[in-house]
Parts: sequence; C-alpha cells; structure tokens
Amino acid sequence: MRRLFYILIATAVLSALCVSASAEMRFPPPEFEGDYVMPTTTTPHPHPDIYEYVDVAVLAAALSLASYLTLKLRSRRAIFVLMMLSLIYFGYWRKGCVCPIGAIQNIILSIFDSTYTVPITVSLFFLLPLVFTLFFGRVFCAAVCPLGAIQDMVLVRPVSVPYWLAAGLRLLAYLYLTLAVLFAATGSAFLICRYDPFVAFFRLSGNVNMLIIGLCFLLVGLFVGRPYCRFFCPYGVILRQLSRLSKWRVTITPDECIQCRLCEEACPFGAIRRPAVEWPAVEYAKARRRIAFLILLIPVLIALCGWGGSLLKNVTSRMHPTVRLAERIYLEEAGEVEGVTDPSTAFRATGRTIEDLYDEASVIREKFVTAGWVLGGFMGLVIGLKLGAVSVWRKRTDYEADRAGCIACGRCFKYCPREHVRLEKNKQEIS
Amino acid sequence: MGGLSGNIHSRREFFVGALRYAALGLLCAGAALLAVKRRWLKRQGICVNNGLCRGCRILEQCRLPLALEAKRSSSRTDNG
Repeated sequence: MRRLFYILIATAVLSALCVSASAEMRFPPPEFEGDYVMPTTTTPHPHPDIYEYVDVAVLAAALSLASYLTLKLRSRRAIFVLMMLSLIYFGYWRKGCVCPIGAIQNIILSIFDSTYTVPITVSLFFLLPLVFTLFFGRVFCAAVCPLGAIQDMVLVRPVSVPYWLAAGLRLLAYLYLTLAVLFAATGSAFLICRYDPFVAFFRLSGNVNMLIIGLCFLLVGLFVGRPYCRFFCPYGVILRQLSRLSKWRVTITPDECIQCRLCEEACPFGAIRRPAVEWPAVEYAKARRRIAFLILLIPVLIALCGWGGSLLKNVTSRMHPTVRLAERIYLEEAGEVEGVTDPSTAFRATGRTIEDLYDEASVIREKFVTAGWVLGGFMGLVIGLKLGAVSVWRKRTDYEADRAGCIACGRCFKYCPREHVRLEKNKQEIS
Repeated sequence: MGGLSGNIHSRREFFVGALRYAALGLLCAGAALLAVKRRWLKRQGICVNNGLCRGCRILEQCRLPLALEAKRSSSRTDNG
C-alpha cells in the first residue's frame, strides 16, 4: 500500500514537471515600447490545457485514495498526510484555482447564460467530489480540499460549539450559496472567488482585507474546528445534503459499538450523535405540536423571505457592472459627484445613448426582482426545514457519526477501544 | 417489533438508494448537457474563451487561438 502511495505521488510530481517544461502562454502580453514594466498579477497565469487534465486526474486519484484511507484503512495519520499533499498541490502549487467550490459559479453561469460555457475539466472538478460524496461521504472535505486542510492544520485546542448555535451559523453557508448563485446567474460577479479568505495565502499576494479575514478565520480555527467549512462553505452545503445519501460512510467503531462513551467528545466538529432510544412522552407530544406548527409556518417563511429578497433588488443589483455604471452616469449627469471614472469615460466613448444604458440597467434590475423572490423563498424553506430538523427525533442505539456533518477526518477512530482491538488483530495477522 | 423496525430500515435504505441514483443521474445529465452546449457553441463559431472577451462574436481582429481556429474552420467551409 505504502509503495502504491509513493508511486502515485511520484507520478503526480513528474507529470507536473513535464507539463511545465512544455508550457507556453496562451495569451501573451502586448509588447510595449519604452521602459514599461508589466505589473505583477494577483491571479495565476493561464496554464496550458493539458494542466487542467492533469489536475482532474490528480483530483480523481486524491478522492479515490481519501475514500480508501477513511473507509478501509481507517488511518487518521494517512488522511493527514494526504490532506497536506492536497494543500501543497491544489493550494500552493495550483494556487487554489480551479477549485470545486468556485466552480459552482461557472456551472450556474453556463446554465443561465446562453453564450457562456465551461470546459469539461471545470465540470469534472465540480462533479467528481459530488459523485464521490454520493458513495463514500465527504472524503473531499476530509483530505482533498486545500481550504479545509489549511484550517485543519491550525486546530490546536478545539472547543465544542453548542448544537443550536452551530445549526444557526450554518444558515450563513446557505445564504452565501444563495447570493453566489444569484450573482453568478445574473452575470454580476463571482462572489466565492472574490471573497475566498485563503486564496491570498496560496498565491502569496492579494487583497489585504481578504488576507485579514483569512487570518481571522485561522485565528478562530485555533479553537473552533474548520469555521469556514462548517459555517460558510457554499460547496459544503451541497456536500452535506449529498452525504446524507452516501452508500458507505465513516463509522466510529469498526464493528459494534460497546457504548463506552469514549468517543463522546472526540469530534471537534460536533458531528457525533449520541444514542437516543426513547423520548419522554411529554417531550414527544410537544415536538409533534411543534412540527405541525412548522408545517404551517414554512409557506409563510417562504413568502416572507421571497418578498424580502425581491425588496433587496436595489442593493443586490449594484453588484452588476451595468447597473453600477448606470448609477454612476446618472450621478455624473445630475452633478451629484465630481469627476469621471474609467467605466463612465469608456461608456461615453462608445457613443451609446444614456437612455439605452438606463433601459438595460432596468431590465437587469427586474431580473434581480425575480431572482430575489426565488432565492429568498429558498432561504425561507431552508430556515423552515432547519427548525423542523431540530424537532424531529430519530432513534439511535449507538454512537454515530452524523451523516451530513461528518467530514470523515478520522479523528474519532483512535477513541474507540474496538478500533484498538482491530489494529492489534491486524498486527498479529501481519506478524 | 424487530421485524417492523427492520422493514422501516430497509424501506428507508430503498428510498435513500433511489435518491442517490437519481442525484447521480441528474449530475451526469447536467454534465452531458454542458458538454453538448460547449460543442454546439464551438460549432457555431462563437468564442468560448473564459477570459474577459467571452461572448464576443467579432472574430476578424481577434488573435486568440480559439478565434484563429474558428476563422480557419470557417474558411475551410467556405472553400467547400
């Protein structure tokens, strides 16, 4: 197994070196005369196409290996090593791009914009972790995602976040996903890429504000396990839901739970569920009434949040460059601002009429009204279902890893005495 | 009682399995549609570059590799 692991790593490194040897710039910069010096870019240079296929191959290999390490080998140490290698490759070597998290926006834009399309490699980057999650759980989060790895690395003194607080904070991830979909679908902006808190670390350059936010996440991450993954990651929202359907998943114990309670506090992400055999009759009746109330409340929440979403059109539509330009031109024409901006100068140079621009901006703003209704309604549904989930009781006889919340990091393995028995048996078999 | 619990469990497993393969089918169908769209756009000669000039339909002055390729393919068609 170890030999196979080294071979895989060596192959990946050699492929990367070969590709860089044959690399040439697809879009060379213009040749300026004089002493002009090209500024240093904050985004990575374009890569040759073959690199993208190498990335997909490495992603597939890493996901397969992560599945093996979490479900079959059950080794936290091996998962950690793979996680570090993924951080080096996808984070520092490939500078965090392409990543499945950001690919959400490309996919959404290609669905809504008839003239936009994504390369097959980007589609695969988006799809592969989802397909693996459907079968093996969140192995992508466990050992492949560089954003997760950088947070996992700094977790030194985990404190447990109360369930109600964690559930409430998770709504932020849904909100983030909703906004990212809204801005991508309307062609306004790629929010996830713009506000990626860790990409500045990978590229060793970038926006100072985002660098500070990234540092804050890492500081919080010293005590709260993977705060970005748990409470903000929009891709994590999708992975959580698909993980509920996974065919195989991480179990704390390799065979049967002896209810020793040693694993009770083992998970820094609060993903271990305690046994719940029977609820007291009074609690049960109360929960039933609460669910009936929530079923009636959900349509109200959908309507209210949808309405709220549509009301935000003036704020949200400002993310669209055309709307922003129209507002700027309006202010300049009305004499409410001094000077001009590059976009407004460029617009005037085109010779288009201002009325045309205003018409275009108002059409875009109307799109935001519709999108606000749909996505606000979605948020209302999510809030309603979250409230419902708190009231639902599910029988559990053993300590279990939460299907949605478990990121398959493997920390709980060593807490289980049955795991130690298994390892001992394995050792004896080998010797 | 154990039998009833077992039935509920297997029914749940069945639904989860059905949902899993439905989700898988949906993802695959979506990926296939995106691939077909890309192919179609390329055939139409529309630039599918992901950069700032995406969506631009004016190929005459464009020196990007995809534009050059599109121009070459269209000239081949013109020549029969």
